[in-house]
Order: sequence, then structure tokens, then C-alpha cells
Amino acid sequence: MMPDVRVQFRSRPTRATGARRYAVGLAITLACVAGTGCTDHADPAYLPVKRILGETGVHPGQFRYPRGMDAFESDGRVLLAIVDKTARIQLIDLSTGESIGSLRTLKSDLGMPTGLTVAPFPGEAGSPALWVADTHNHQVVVYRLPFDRSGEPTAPAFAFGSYGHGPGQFIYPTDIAVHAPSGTPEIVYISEYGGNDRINVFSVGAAEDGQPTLVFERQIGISGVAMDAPADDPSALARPQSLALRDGGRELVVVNTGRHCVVRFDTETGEPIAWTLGDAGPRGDPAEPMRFPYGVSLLDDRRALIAEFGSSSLRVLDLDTGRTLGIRGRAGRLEGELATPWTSIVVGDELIVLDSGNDRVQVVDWDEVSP
Amino acid sequence: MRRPTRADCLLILPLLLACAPAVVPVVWSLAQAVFSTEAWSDTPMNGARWVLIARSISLACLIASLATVLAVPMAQVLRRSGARAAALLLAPVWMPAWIVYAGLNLARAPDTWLGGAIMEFALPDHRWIIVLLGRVIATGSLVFWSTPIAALVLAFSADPEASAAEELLRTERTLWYRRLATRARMHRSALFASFGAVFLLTVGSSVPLHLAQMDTDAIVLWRAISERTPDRWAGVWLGAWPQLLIAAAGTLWFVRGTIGRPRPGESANPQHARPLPKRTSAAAWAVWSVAALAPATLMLGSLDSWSSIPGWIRLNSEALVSSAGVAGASGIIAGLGAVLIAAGAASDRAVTRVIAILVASGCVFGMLVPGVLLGAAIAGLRLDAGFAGVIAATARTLFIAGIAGLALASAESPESAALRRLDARGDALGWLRVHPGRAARLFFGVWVAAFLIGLHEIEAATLVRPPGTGNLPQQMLSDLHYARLEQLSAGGVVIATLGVALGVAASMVLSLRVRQPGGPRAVPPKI
Repeated sequence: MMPDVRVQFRSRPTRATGARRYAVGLAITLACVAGTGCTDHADPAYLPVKRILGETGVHPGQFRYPRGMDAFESDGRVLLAIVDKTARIQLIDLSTGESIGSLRTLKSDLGMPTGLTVAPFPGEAGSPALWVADTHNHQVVVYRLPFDRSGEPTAPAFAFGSYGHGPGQFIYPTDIAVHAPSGTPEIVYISEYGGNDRINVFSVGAAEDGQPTLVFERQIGISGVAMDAPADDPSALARPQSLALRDGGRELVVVNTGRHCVVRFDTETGEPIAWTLGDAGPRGDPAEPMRFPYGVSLLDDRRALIAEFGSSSLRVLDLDTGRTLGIRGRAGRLEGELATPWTSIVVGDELIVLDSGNDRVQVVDWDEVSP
Repeated sequence: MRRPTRADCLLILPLLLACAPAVVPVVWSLAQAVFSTEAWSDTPMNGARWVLIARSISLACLIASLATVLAVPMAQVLRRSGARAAALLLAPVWMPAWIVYAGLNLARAPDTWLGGAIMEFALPDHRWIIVLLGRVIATGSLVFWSTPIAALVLAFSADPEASAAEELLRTERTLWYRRLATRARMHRSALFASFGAVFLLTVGSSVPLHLAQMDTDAIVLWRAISERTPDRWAGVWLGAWPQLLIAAAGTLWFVRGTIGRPRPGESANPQHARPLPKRTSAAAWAVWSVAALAPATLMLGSLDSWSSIPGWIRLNSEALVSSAGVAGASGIIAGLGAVLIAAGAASDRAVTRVIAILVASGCVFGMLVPGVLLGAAIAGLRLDAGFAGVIAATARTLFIAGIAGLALASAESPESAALRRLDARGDALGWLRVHPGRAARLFFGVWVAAFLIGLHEIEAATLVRPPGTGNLPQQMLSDLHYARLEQLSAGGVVIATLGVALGVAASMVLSLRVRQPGGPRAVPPKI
């Protein structure tokens, strides 16, 4: 059978048409691959930022992966205590972003500190101090506030804890919650991970030789690092990353990061009261469940603000119902976007977000985004 | 010199575009840095730079030497075994280096017996032991991960004459160390090729060293990038001149080696060789066990619950799909690039051949430049985030296209090339018409390899891809950094299984030996 020569010729492009097709194809390809990012300010997840504090760097007022933050008032101005990946703790003026002092923990060869909590100095009423979970040195260190040093390694005013699995010992401590109803710390809660994931509870004893004593009382929660939701055992903890005390210290709110949930414990009995994945909306409608929640701060006696490392967003939780009242922020590098935030707090009428992955602090008018 | 044919001319532009992801961002960033007056006074690491470079080179030499020594029995097994065994033996290549590190590191996690004992002993007065151990594991994991690569280079670079002399050496009665020295001298070119390949792979970038906080030149550059705002990256580029110099020299060496390697048909006939001693096989599989089996076993063993594996897949489904899309797209570009390079390098027109070799060089250069620098360069182009992700993955995987394309083109026997020319099919298009099967297999093989490497590429991806749930490298790096051991183990098992399964299957489909007309494996069956 003869091949259809005409068809073969017809399908073969001439030199001119071939070149034209080639050029058009190339142009379309190039047009398809070009493009730039843009910001959609109408998106409800976008945070309307008032100001940004800090940027990438190691100089005063700059950060390299900040990973812990708390706020306090000193001489009429609000200061943020922020620790970053260089083991440097800076005091940042919330209104100007100026660094008014910084220090480093003594040892950082094995890793850097994480959780920071501002609370009274142990054994001293009303004396402000910064409690630091010195994670990779298996201890908690306390510095007096404020400090005006310039970044040098500094010995803490008080330190306690040692490596181990025993009562009151730590593998990797992550955060501290201090119960000080009369202005003097009475009970201290310290979360830890590393295979012995739990909350250590200490009572603060009378000072001996000028040094306060912390006596191990009990542990809350047991280690359970499986990734399943804790339907079987809500007290099983997998990297409890941060803590908050509620209801006058009768309740401990624990962010159970490895299991993507928040658990409420009774501080008296150590038993779990309730837990939530945050997968229900305000009216019981489905909501996006939490994903590696890291930071918790209480907004009032009922609502908690959760910083979600995994989904790069913030969430307001109703602690009584476990429902998600609103999700704010979205992943990104632009202003108003977040990258792996470690914690967030509300001070006055301002929401302050530690935007760790973008090496900055974003300040937002809380009334504009509050659900 | 004969002018390129019209078909060759049509191929040249896509050929040049193929290496653009690896070359354009680097050239653009370098040009900006060179013409920036601020950048010259803002270069990092001016003080102890030479110490840092010396340390990096020493470390890479140590890793390359150990990997080459361990690769000797593996290379012997590779040369004599069938496709299945060879594909399995090369399994660690399909896993990221950090999986080997993370797997071996699990043995010293604080909640293990060994890890607990080490911590008890080291704290508080011998903290250096913990740091040292981390660094030993990081170095060791790189050695074991790169051993199959060293073995592959050894197996394919073996001198045919040396292999023949090997048989003669067996009959001689001489002391073992003399025999060893003679053997090393005979195979010195293959050993050097193996050493050089591993040296170049490890001197520029390596996540395990970063995780173990080992200060090498590339790691300090990584830190400099992460400590600066993008407008100050130009100084880092200028400060990166030793790495760029090594990358350029390495590219030249790699490409010359690929073009000049003996064709498969010229290698010693494995059928004539004596059976492999059992101890050689045992040594090869022992090394393989540490590189592939031990990390996988440790990861599986450290899982608190098997349900964590489906749990991890569920949690990271968006990241897996997104990263698979990025890796798949980059694989297509790399696959097409490989076919174009092979066709161009096989052309009988010198201009086309030279362009193909230059393009392949650009592709290899993209792999030898530290991944973080490449990522920073692509981020500096301010492209759409999704597209930038594909470009970054492509730039890091194009080296496979360059090497495989050149290797396939140079594997064509002179007789076959001469026959093509007689048939008026000597140009690039002619090669494609004569060898469509080879081109298809090349595309498929390069696609699989680029897909796997693109899937778990971390260094460039962390700087380019947007944060959030769709970023698998970021999720894995977070698991690695923050010791989320359950997630890390579950993710490691999934990624390693995916890599090994796909890699082994692809290796078997492609068959590792390139059979040539006239070669020893191509003897026609008896009629």
C-alpha cells in the first residue's frame, strides 16, 4: 500500500510557519513562567500591621530566628523580652523597637533557650525577673529585670534544675508558668520534652543562704509522643511547648504541640479537664484543626490566643467550649503575613506577634482583628 | 568548520534555556555584587577565613577518602552483579543525606538507653562529648551516604587495562599490602575520580553538618545569609569566592571526566572475571546496611506508634502534593534538558557539540554551588513563589541532566555515529531519530532522579519556597531542628521508602549497564 504522501507534506510546516510557531510557543512559555507576588489586603486572614519591630541580623534591635517573648512594664514603657537563635535575650521598647539592653546565656554550645516568662523573682515580692527555659542546658535560669547589658554572656541571678528523668530533673525544658497570687512566686510549672514529656510542679520554699529553694511536688501529664489525637489519653504529652495559668491558678493550660492540641489540667489533682484540637468553629461548624501550636497567652478568663507554628497563623480559642473563635494571619513573607510564629501576646490594645521565620515582631491593632 | 543544520539551530535555544535556572540567577547575583560598592566592604568572615577553608577542605577530603575506601567492595559487586542487586545497592543514593544522619542520630536520643547513658556521663563536666558525638555522626552519615555514589563512579571509571591486570595480579604470590599498593596504583584514576566526586558533593553543602553545627565554609555562608536582610546578600556573594572557584573547577573536572570516561563496550568483560569472593560481597552489603538499613530500622524502631506514619502523611498531604508537583515539574525540565544535551553532544557539528557541553557544564555548576547561595540568588530574582520553587528544584537537579546527557552521547560507538552520518542523520535531530528508545529512557531516568532529589531538596528550597503547610522541606527541617522525633521518624520512613522504591524501580527499568553494539554484553545469541 502506498503511503499518503500528500498528508505527510501537508503536515510538515514550511520554514516560515515553523519559525512562527516556534516563536509563538516560546513567547507563551516565557509568559507563563513570569510573574510576581502581590498582597491581597482584602483577605480576612491578612493582618493590618501598625508597625514592625526588628529585622534579620545580629545587631541591637535585629533578630536571628526569635523564639521566645514576654512583655513587662518598666518606667512607664512596655518592654518586650525576646530571645533568638544566638542565645541573646534583648529588651525591646514596644513603641520604638529600640533595644535597651541584651545579654546571652552562659552556655549555648548544645543549643539555645526557648520559653521566656516575666514573673516576680523567687522569694521576693514585686521584684521583676525573667524566667528562661534554658532548654539545652537542662535548667531554668532567672535574670533580674530590667538589664542594660550589651550582649555579653551573663550569669543568671538564680538557676535550678539538672539533666535527668528523675523527679524535678529536666531533659529539655520549654516554658515556665509562675503562680504568684500575693506577688511572690509560690508554685512554678515547667514543661519539658525529649522523651520525658511532662509538666514538673515545684513549690518555692523559703530562702536559704540568700538563695530561694524550689521543691519538686509532683508531675502533671505523662509522656506520649505518638502523633494520634489524644482521644485515648489527653494527659499524654508530646512536646508541651508552652503553658498558661487560668482561673486564679486552679487550671493549667498546656499547648501539646506534638499532638496538635490544647489541654486544660486541674492543678490540684493533675487530671485533665478537657482538651481540644480546635476543629470546631464558634457555632460548632468545622474549622481548620490546629497544626503544631506553639505559644499560648490568655486574653481573658475564657479566651486564649494560640500561635500556630505549623500553619503560620494565630487562633483565638474558647477554652470552655474548645471551639475556634477565629483564625488570623496567613503564611508568607510580606507585611501582615507570618512565617512559623512561636508566640503572640496582647498588650493593651495591641496584638504583638513574634514572627519567628521572618525575624521580626509585627504589631497589630487588636480591635481590628479580634474575633 | 561545518555550520549547524537547521534542526541543530532550532535545538540551541531550548538547550540554552535548559541550563538557565542554574546559571542565570548565579550570574545575575554575582554581577550585582561585583558592581555594588557597599558589597565589597560588607563581605563576611574576613578574619579566620583561611582556617575555615582549610577545615572545610580537610573535612571533605576525609569524607571522600573514607567513602572511596568503603566503596571499593561495593564497586566490585556493582560491576559483577545483576541489575536488581545493583539497584538495591545504590538505594542510599535515593535518600537525602539528612535521613541517614537523622536515623543514626536517633540512637543517641535522650530517651534511648545509649543516649541516656551518654548524657549521664557527659553532663555537666564533659559537655564536649555531646558536641563531638554529633559531629562524628554527621561526618559518618555523609561518608555512608556518599559511599554508593563513590562506588558508582569507581565502577564506571575503571580502567579496562587495570581490570585485566587485576586477573594477572591474583596469580602472583606476594604480600597483601604490596598487592594492595599495586592495585591502588593500577586503579588510581578511578579512585581519584571517586574521591573527587564525593569531595565536590560534600565541600559545598551538606545539611547534616549544618545540623551538627559544624562550622565549614559553606555552613558559615549559610549563617551569613540567614543573619542578613536580602539587600546585604551581595556581600555574601563576594565572600563566597572560594566556593564559587571550587564549583567552577569541579564543573570542568566533572564534565571532562564524563566525556572522557571509557565507553561501556571498552570496559573489562565481567563474564571473564573470577567469582567475587564472599568477603567482598559481605563487606559491600555491610556498608550498605549502615547507610540504608540502620537509619531505616532506627527510625521504624523509634516510632511510638505505627499509626504515626499515616498520621504524618495526613498532616503533610498538602506539603507532599505541593512538593511532588514542584519536583515533578523540575524533573520534566531536567529530563528534556538531558535529552537535548545528549542530542546536542552527539551531533556531528562542532558548534552544537560545544554548546551542549557548555550547557551541561552550567547544569553541573548549579549543583556544585552551595544550595543556600543558589536559593538566595533565585529569591533575589523576585519571581512568583511557586515558579521560583520549580526553578530552585530544577537548578539543583539539572546536574543529572548534564552528566547523564553527556554520558549517553559519549557512550555511542564510533561505528554507530559513522553510520548516522552516512544516513545524513549526523546532527542532533538525527541522533534523536536513530535512538528514540535511548532518548525516552534517558528522559524517564533523569525525571525519576530529579523528582526524588527535588522532593527532598532543602537548602535552596528553604530560601525560595513560601512558608506554610505546603512547604515540605520547611516541615522536615523543623522536625530535624526541633527534635520532633516521632514526626521525624514517620516522615523519614515515608520519604526513604518513596525514594528507595522509586529509585530501585527506575534503576531496574533503565538497567544500569548501557549495552553497546559490539560490546561484550551484546554478543548475538547462537542461532
